[in-house]
Amino acid sequence: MSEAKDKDPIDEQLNQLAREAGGHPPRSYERRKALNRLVEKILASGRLGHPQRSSFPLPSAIYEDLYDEALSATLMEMCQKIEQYDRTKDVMAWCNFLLTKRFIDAWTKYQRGGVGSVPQEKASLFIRPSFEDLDGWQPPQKNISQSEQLKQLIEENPDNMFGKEYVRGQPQATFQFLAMAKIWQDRKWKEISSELNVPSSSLCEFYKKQLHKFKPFFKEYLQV
Amino acid sequence: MAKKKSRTPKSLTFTVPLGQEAHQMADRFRQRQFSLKQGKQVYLNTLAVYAVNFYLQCMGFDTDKSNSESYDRAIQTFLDVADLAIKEVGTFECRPVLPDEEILRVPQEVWQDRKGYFAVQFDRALKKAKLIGFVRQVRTEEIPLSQLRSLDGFLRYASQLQNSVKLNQWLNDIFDTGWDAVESLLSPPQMAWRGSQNRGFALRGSPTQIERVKRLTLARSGEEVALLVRLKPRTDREMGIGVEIYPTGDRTYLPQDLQLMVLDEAGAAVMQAEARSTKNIQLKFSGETGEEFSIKVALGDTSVTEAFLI
Repeated sequence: MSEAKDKDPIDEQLNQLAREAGGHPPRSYERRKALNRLVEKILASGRLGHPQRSSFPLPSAIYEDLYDEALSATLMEMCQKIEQYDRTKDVMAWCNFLLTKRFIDAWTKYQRGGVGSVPQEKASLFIRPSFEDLDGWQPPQKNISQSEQLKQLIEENPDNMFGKEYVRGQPQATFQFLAMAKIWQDRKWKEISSELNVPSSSLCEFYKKQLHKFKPFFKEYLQV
Repeated sequence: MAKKKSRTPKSLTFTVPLGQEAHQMADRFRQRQFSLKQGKQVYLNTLAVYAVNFYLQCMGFDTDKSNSESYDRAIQTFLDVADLAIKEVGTFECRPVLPDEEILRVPQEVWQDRKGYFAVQFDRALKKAKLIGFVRQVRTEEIPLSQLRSLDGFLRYASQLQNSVKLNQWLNDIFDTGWDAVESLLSPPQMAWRGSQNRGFALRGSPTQIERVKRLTLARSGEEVALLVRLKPRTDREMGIGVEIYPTGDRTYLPQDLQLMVLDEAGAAVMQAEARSTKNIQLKFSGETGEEFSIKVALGDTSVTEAFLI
């Protein structure tokens, strides 16, 4: 096999990593490490193709969205089928070939209306919020009333179900008390710990154990 | 194969594009939350779990969502969790690191019952998540990012756990390939001293002890030895473990200076023995269900390590 002399060194590095990954057995540390490095290098290579925007008349936010969807599908496919890498070709050629295919898949799905598991009549994508946008979210009204109901339930404590057990030596440290403090008073474990004079690790473990006990109950309750 | 050492980056990371699938799932989980604060936390936790799940699938691990609490509605309401279970390995926590933050925050709720913690950093646009590092244990709520280990450490650790010999399966008569009946590898002269008392299973009833043997080749020297592991269940949780090394074939003595070591979870040698003019080496210890250890056989600068899970 003769390698062209003027080959870009980045291609050679990527090809080498792909060969290395494919050369180690599937569950080995060595294959995983080579795959991890391969993916990072591909993303940083500046060699990823972009399906021509003019062929896909889409608002740019949607184009980017579909592109990211296609890119993740491509990377996953390469990792899982690394044995199928054709050593006579450049990894980036393979990668960009798959990327175009996966982009068309994503685009077709979008055209048909709805992406992922949401079959919708209106072909609208969920607009990805930015980090700052997260602060603009408000819980739906029904959640607020559900929260109130749950709070009331725990306060009313039917049959003392949330108050029977407590952290050893501190009868105040019940699930009722801890859930109220954590969820509706937004208090820190450290604070509660110094108020009740119980190590926060004991409080935390107790709370978790109790929660698992009540899980089926809450599950049903929250199903509404 | 010529081993050309390619340049290893100082620290291995992994970047995950966050497309529709990730954001839709995060939004779905957020829509059930009671407050803005909870909603934001759950949104970021979900993206972090999504990113780690994507990474693990690329790396050829099987994840197990049904055993991960972060997907559970009731738990999401009451606890700040972002866990993800990996089959044959254990449960890991995927903590979001906010853009420009220098600290990994780990709530006390998740300090227990985790094999490790991933730090997943987001860009401001939430279009990318970067797995920037990993720690095995957490004892404080805030960990400076500079103290994280590289993903390389995770891959090594998780691969070892996944590929480790699961000793509790031996009790059910399930053995990985390479672990054979003692007689298949060791012949009477080597075993003569052992007499007839230790033949693995009692003919009827429960096994009193189980032993299996594996052929180990010390790569460069080409020397071969047999590693014998013997289990004696003592209580529900405690297991007596015997480790022995024998020469193979018609050799009588072990290679001079051969070392046998038992390593703890962190890879530190806790027991050690060395061959002089020796016919075999033995080490005995005990361990509890869930504990990990490794056996290292070394000769000069070559060695073989086998990982075990009790």
